[in-house]
Amino acid sequence: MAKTYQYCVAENWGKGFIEHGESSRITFSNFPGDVWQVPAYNKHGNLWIAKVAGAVKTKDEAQTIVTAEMKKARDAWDADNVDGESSAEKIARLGSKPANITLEE
Amino acid sequence: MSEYKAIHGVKIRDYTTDPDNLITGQVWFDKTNKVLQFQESNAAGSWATGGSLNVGSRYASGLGVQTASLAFSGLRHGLSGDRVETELYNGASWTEVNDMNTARSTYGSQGAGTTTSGICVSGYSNPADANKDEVETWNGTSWTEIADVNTARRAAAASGVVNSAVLFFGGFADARTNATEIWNGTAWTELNNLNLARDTLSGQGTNTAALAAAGGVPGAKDEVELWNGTSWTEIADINTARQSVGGSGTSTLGLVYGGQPRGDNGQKTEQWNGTAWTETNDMSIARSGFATSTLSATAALAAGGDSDNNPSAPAGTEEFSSPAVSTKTVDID
Repeated sequence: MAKTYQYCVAENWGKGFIEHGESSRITFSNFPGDVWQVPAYNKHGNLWIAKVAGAVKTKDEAQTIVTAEMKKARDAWDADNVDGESSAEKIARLGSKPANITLEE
Repeated sequence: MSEYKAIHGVKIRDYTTDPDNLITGQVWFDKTNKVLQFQESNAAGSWATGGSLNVGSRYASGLGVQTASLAFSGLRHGLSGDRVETELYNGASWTEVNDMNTARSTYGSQGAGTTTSGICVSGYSNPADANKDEVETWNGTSWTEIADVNTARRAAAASGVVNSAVLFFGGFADARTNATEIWNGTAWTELNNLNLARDTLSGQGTNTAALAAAGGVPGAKDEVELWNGTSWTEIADINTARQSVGGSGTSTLGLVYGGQPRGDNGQKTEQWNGTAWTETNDMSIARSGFATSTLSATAALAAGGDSDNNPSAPAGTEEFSSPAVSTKTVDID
């Protein structure tokens, strides 16, 4: 099956990381672990990955990074407790326990 | 000239100065400079990453313009940790400035004004489940507490270009509210209500000409209302209903962006020209519950907020720029 997306790891340095011309040509998604998703087989996506010196990852490699980051977030959520606090109070304080994120091919 | 009339059915008029109320595609002869002029179409606006906040936050408010804005209030992490921190953006990077007096999360667009005359109205205290009626003004250096609003609420909207003339509307008090209050620099006064009680809406404009766009009831809404200084009137809907949305600009040139169409975060951006909403390029990253610059629809800023895809990174910002309609000189040599 042909890929819809390609993945890379790149740290968002702020201004200039995604420029106006790039965002109007391709759709970006950002995931935990500085994982970025852009369209596959796309010249503008390839040029952007090169510009940001992104480390190209397969979908499975990117998924491993995202899953590890979400596990860290869940572990931190589990460890953040207040004596006598109910489950509902904990959710009110911290939000719901972070869920897994599944990347698309 | 006669050829132009034969093709287009109209003559080209002479002007000594640019004509008033130019329309896209209009052609005229500039007698003063002896050149043919053409009004270009307005290119679509687009988004780009901006400088990252020093402290990531969600459910914060903002004010100002893209190159001079403040982000304040909000949550540091999860649903706890109301912020007092204030950050100032210069168009390239954020600097921490003096804290607010009262920590809060606003969950809406409850900032208005500029970086020398700003205001933060009301808000919410986590996790105490209590709305705050405190109001603070920013003078370019520090926050000062002023008179409280009549109805404490969160997820509301404010509009105004200075901190002495502000409209405050909608939000969640004990329930979703349509209450509208005006600040005249001395006291808050209740005025005519919104037609639709809602929260997490956007507000843009002044205290005499404002837009209330989108919001939640709790489902996402597409309704837009126009404030004329006395009352609210429903006008054309936005194309994509949403809540926790960003808004910037005026009642005749507005922008709404991001937000939650169906519970997941969205990227859609729409421009208002005083008559209709038009979709333009999406935000780079789907987000909701972010701080916004409030005053311009052609150069806006979205800071922080929630992203389904990356809940751990609410420090990122995006800048929207829409090229102004411009006049081109046509080479006729």
